[in-house]
Amino acid sequence: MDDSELQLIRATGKGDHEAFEHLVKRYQNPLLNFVYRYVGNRQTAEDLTQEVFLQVYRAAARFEPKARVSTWVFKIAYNLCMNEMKRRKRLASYELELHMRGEQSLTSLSPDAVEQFGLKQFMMKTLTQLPEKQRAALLLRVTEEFSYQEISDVLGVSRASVESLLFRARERLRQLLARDEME
Amino acid sequence: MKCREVESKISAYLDDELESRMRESIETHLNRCGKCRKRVEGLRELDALLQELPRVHVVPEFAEKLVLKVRREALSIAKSSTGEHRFLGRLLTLAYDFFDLLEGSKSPRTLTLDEFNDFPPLSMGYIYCTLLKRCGGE
Repeated sequence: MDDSELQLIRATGKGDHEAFEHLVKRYQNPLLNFVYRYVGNRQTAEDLTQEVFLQVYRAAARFEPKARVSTWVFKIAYNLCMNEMKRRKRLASYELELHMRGEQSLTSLSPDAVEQFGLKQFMMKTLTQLPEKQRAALLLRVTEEFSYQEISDVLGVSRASVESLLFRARERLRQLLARDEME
Repeated sequence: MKCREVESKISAYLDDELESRMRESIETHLNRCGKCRKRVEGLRELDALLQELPRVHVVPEFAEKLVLKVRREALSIAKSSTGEHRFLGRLLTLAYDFFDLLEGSKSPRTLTLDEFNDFPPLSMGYIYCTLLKRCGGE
């Protein structure tokens, strides 16, 4: 347990806005990236990231030091992402869109970079085709470098399940990419 | 160790989440099995691709704006609770006044308030004292 993070959470729980700001600055970019890769939309990711921090602020006083601050914050993010996906599924016109707004424009990139840009864009799209738990496990492991135990805390599943989720996620992603190469 | 066993542990191997004995067994297998080695390399490339995905950054004033939002929220909660207390306080005062009116001039509290007869016109105090005078006069 990171003592300074625990102190920040405790101070936030007592209404210390400066401590809250430190906490936000520490997690804002990792959270935004996790959410962005999970939902595949920049604007939604920003809104959800903001909502994560509002929930962190409101629940800080109830934080139990049994959990790590990082896993607790990502658990809130994961739950919000799940709710967002459920909300989208409820919409008849549900469609996963990919917005790369805010990134470099294609015209300003070299041909190699365009190919690279296309590949990354394709990876983002393929990622959103993975089942939700597999996607979350893979993102937490590969891009956030969480341990299996931490992922199990965030997703609320056993460590063995995390191993299985990661195995299936990588296999599925590999198959999806291979299928695209064939086409 | 057979390819099938390695396959089921390949993810945990990549993530360095295996016990040392299992890890050694897999490495021994990989040293002599080109097919499994190729598979591990492919998955490593996949992880590298994921790590290279475009990273996005929050707008510079993100934290400050959020803190401002939280401050406003805290302030509005404080205001609404103050308003609630004020409203309840007024309600309690009215209830006391009502019971005092029913009891007429017998209540010592009524007599004390009767001494202050300088409330603004149509204020609660003015109405109260006027009513008291009427009750007292009869």
